[in-house]
Amino acid sequence: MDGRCLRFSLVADDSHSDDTVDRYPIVPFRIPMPPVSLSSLRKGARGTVAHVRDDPQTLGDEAQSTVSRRLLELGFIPGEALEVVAEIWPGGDPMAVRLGNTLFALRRLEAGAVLVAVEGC
Amino acid sequence: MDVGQAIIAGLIVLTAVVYVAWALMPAALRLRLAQRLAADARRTGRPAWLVRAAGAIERNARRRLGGCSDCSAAQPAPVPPKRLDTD
Amino acid sequence: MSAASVALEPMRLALVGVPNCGKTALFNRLTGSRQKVANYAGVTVERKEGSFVGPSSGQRYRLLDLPGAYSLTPTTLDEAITRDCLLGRLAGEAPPERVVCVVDATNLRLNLRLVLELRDLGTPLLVALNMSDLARDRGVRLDLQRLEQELGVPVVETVAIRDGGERALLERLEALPPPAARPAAEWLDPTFEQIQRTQREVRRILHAAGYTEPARRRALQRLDALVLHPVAGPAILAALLFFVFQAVFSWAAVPMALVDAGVTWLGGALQASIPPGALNSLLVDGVIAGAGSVLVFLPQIMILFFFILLLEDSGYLPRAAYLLDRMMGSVGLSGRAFIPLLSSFACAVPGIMATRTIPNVRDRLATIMVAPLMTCSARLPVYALIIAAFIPNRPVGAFNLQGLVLFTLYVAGIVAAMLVAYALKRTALRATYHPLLLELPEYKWPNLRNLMLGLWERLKIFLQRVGTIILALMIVLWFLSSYPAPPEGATGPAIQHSFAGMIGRTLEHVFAPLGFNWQISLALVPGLAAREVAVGALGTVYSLSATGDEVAATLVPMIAQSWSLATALSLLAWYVFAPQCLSTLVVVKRETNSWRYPVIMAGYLFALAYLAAFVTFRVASALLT
Repeated sequence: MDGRCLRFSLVADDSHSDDTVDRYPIVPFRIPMPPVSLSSLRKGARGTVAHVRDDPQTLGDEAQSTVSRRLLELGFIPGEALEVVAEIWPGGDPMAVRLGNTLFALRRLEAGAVLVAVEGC
Repeated sequence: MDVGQAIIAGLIVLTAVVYVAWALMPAALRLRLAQRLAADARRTGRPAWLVRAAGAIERNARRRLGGCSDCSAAQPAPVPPKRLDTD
Repeated sequence: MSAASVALEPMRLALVGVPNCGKTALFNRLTGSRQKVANYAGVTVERKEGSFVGPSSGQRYRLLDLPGAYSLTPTTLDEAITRDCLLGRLAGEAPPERVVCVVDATNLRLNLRLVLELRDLGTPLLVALNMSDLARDRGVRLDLQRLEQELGVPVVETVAIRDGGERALLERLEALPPPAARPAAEWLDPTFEQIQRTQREVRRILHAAGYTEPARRRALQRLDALVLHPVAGPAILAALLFFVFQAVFSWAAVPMALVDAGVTWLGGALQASIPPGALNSLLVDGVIAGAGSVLVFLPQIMILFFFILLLEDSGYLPRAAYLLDRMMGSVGLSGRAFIPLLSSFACAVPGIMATRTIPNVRDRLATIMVAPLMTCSARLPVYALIIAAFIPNRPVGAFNLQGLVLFTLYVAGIVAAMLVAYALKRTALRATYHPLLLELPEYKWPNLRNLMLGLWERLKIFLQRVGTIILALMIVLWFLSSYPAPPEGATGPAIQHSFAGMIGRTLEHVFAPLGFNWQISLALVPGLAAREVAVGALGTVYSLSATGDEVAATLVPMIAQSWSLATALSLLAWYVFAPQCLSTLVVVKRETNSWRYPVIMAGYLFALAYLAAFVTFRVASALLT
């Protein structure tokens, strides 16, 4: 479960003679994995933000602002390019994430609300 | 000269003692003291320089409300001036 | 509103922006030295106000530099202040008549959303597109007219760090029509969906304005690969800190010798020119030996501040917070706690006030309680004095033994802070969540002007401290140490018979188990008002103890002779934990709104200091004999 795409291809069976009329077309067909949580991605993973869950976890502050609201405000919106650039050893928590051109340091707990469509097919 | 030296030294020491007491006393007490002094100076028609000095002391006491007067970061906000024009 | 009345009253402006957008540089550029820093009423959040005059209209402006905020929905006290000030909800603070929102031209994606939020507020808004020169260099493309059209507010380019970089802003500002009276803004925190909608609008606007930004420079990416690396990163951090402490000794050597020579010369000149008597002793033993001893450490303090300011300006500190988050988290602190803890290296007071950026209340309290353990710069003279007297200047591998010991002392402070935080989290303060969620700003070359301004500010503070409270305390101490005069035929130095001598002898009973003699015990007392004073007090006390007419030697050789190494180490251990100066305790009281915490803080610090010094003294005595 590393978030890579699964690759299917419907191809003709070349071993048969080519007088088969209804040959399936050769179509490399990618079914991307469903978006995974940012908290599960390791260093080097790239993708785009698919969705930010409305997570009720608060930052424990005066305004009771939620983590996911703050993530939204910081720019974690659908379509934004994302890359995990660093993580701490051991355990990989916290992690440094590049969102567009800005770097953020997050704990895995905070990253949990962000769902990412991973690229790398 | 010994007596002269002793007098000058004594004055310097007195000034230092007053300053240390001023700097280390609790902020609220200091402010009350300063306000009393300033009110006193204004009321009984004392010479102008005394009134000004008392005012300066009061401002200093207000500045020291923050607890640490070294850098300005610890001082309370200056009171914004009243609005003159009307909306 | 007539034009005449507008000119009378300075117009209230507010400067808003996300952190790291160069807002402060623009503020400095606009207001120059006409700044006043204070506090918002009731809270320890810094309030920066400055004033300037519009060049063509002559209109005076009062500019308020509001704390950086990512959004008007606050997550920290800082951001709450910004929002409340803009909405006019702050007591004693009228809302600004105009708002200038500073945005970083190289990162509009992050910055523009705030502009939209501010636009909805209704206050007349002007957008300052800062770092526009940097953006242009990096190949950022933007249709300024189109952006202005889309936003519906004036947008003007600024280059805060360059001379004249604010001119366009001033012209545009003055050209704005006078603010109309309007009802107080109604403000509701936006919902999740609203934020998403705003973000989509931001993307749409950027697209319409043809905004393109190039990728980060490769060199910086490679730098970050090293700096953020799980193994290389902490190593670089350690090496960096170590280098700083080394520099504090090696770079300061020559300037310190100069200051020392100057002070000694002045002492000698006074000694010779004034006939012996009370005044002579006051000036030579009290003022010169006392305040002068502290003044000698000015170069070291300046070098330390230089590096702190450099690190702050360069954008490295949040990365250090990221690297240390794991370690901090293991004892219940957040990595964010590192940043105020580092500025506590300068002084605990702003460090404690900087904890306002920590969202979690319990985290903040824990950081406040441990902040004093992060060495404040006033400890530096004490450390430096003892290290100079007892630690030989010997190379150890690539390092210098003196720098190594100083580094160890600072590390000891951090370790102690972590242990205390751990104990606090386990017993009294239980927090559930430690947020990190930190932006790592782009590296930038530290701005020399800002650096110099910062150093100058610090220099003034130090000199003011030495010239007022330290000087006054030394004079008082001199008096207490010289009177009552010894009776006829008494042996030994006069100081032993004085008030101070008596106090010292009494305190010696308390501190004898730690190996402190009566001079040290006495010096600790005025040290409560200001830590450096302990050095000055030692200077005065030893100067008065010099019998006969020997020339007043400097403090270092005197204590090197009369203390044992075990005593010196014990005093170092004491100072790692030493109770805070009164100012810090007062600030903690204001910050926590209760006397309970300062009392607890003073109590636990005293106990820890005593324990540490005791153990050190016993162990050192055992090992060294």
